[in-house]
Amino acid sequence: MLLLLCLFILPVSAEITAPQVPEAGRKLMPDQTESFSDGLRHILKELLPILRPELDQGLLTGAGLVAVCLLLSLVSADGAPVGRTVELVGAVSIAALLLGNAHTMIRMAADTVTEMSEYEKLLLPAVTAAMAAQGGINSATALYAGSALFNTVLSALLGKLLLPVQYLYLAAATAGAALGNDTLKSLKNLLKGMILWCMKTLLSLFTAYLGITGVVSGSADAAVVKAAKTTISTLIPIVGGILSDASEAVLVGAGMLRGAVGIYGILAILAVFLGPFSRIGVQFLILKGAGALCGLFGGKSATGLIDDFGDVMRMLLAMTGGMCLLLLVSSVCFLKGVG
Amino acid sequence: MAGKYVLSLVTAALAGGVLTGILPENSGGKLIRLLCGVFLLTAVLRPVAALELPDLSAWMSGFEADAQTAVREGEDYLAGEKRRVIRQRLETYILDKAKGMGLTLSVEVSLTEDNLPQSVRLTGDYTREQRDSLTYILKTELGIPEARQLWQ
Repeated sequence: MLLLLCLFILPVSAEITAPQVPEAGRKLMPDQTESFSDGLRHILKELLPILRPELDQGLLTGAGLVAVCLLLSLVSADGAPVGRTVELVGAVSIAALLLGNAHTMIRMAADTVTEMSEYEKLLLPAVTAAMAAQGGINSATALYAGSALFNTVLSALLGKLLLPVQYLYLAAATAGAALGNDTLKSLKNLLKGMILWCMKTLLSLFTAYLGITGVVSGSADAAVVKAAKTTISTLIPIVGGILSDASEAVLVGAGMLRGAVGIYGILAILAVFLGPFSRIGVQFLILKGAGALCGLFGGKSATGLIDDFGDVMRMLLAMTGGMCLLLLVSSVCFLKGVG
Repeated sequence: MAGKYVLSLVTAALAGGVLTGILPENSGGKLIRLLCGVFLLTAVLRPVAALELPDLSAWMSGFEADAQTAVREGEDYLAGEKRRVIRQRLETYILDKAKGMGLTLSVEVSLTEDNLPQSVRLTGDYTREQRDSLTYILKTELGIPEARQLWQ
């Protein structure tokens, strides 16, 4: 009975394998990737110790911001309007506290986007081959082409335009706070709107593309696989039976292979993404908290500048999160397979 | 490149600012102010005009070619695995039949391009009767004629 059972299970081939997780994700990547939920649990468990130093540093920065706003409010506590000089000093102090960290976060976001994009370029051939091995030739071709195109477009857009534009946003925000100039506010809003519009549009287009190709090519592949099975079983009875069972077992094995490659790929993408995303998230929350606290007693321009730095963190979260979502959706479509 | 762009913008803004500062408030001054604005706008938009849009159709062709390569790899894997498993199962079938006759053999099956049994090599100890029985089974149940059964 055991021997019979073994005949229906095939070992996963060493010929089609997922590419190794990049260096950036090696710390979080689980050793065992058979179960997605266990793998995800491992990643989240390894993530918390990484965030601790970020949280400590962030709280110190937040305390510094609150101290600056408190000092500014003391200077203008006698009821007189805050002078131009005080606003300028406030803006410079806040920028000095936050610019270095903002630069680190922007660089980290850019590196994360690049790592995820490069990994996806290595993963796509493996999942495509695994899907084709299961009979999903049309679906695999269409998914590969679409995923590669959107991956390239989005990573180029993020790396060459939207991420560098964050510096322009910060420059406009700092200059606006220092000069008390509301005209730069329009520029900031334009930049923010442009970034969010680009992300939403690309992701919507990609999802629509996947939906359409999945329906059209998936049905064609399922019909081809079904026809092949029917053809095999009408041959010489004993030999036909062996051929049919073997084909079935190979397809099951190919399905397991596709699942193994897909799950490894998804966990690798999450391992690369979650560390930086969480660190930026911590910065975002601390800046929002500091902005809310400073709003109780600080000047409008100082609080507005802190909120602007928080908005940059939010945009970084949107951009890295959008890139990750695109790659995960693509991987899940490959995992779904034929039919 | 970005540094040069910023420098050109700053220079244009400074030049425009100085010029508009010294001009009188008459129709001639207004015209020159307008021209300064156009000049500044040109400086801002110059990189956009020089932008080369990517050739999406070339990209798609490249990606489709890469997809075809990956799909071929998958098809080769599938074909190879199928062949391996079919050979394995045919050999197991023959070994089971041989065992039922009290034979201990080693079996090597070769397949046609359509994965049908083409020939078989059987090695071991056997009597004439055992050989004849197994030969008959291989001929009738697996379609391997006697001429393509190699007994050693």
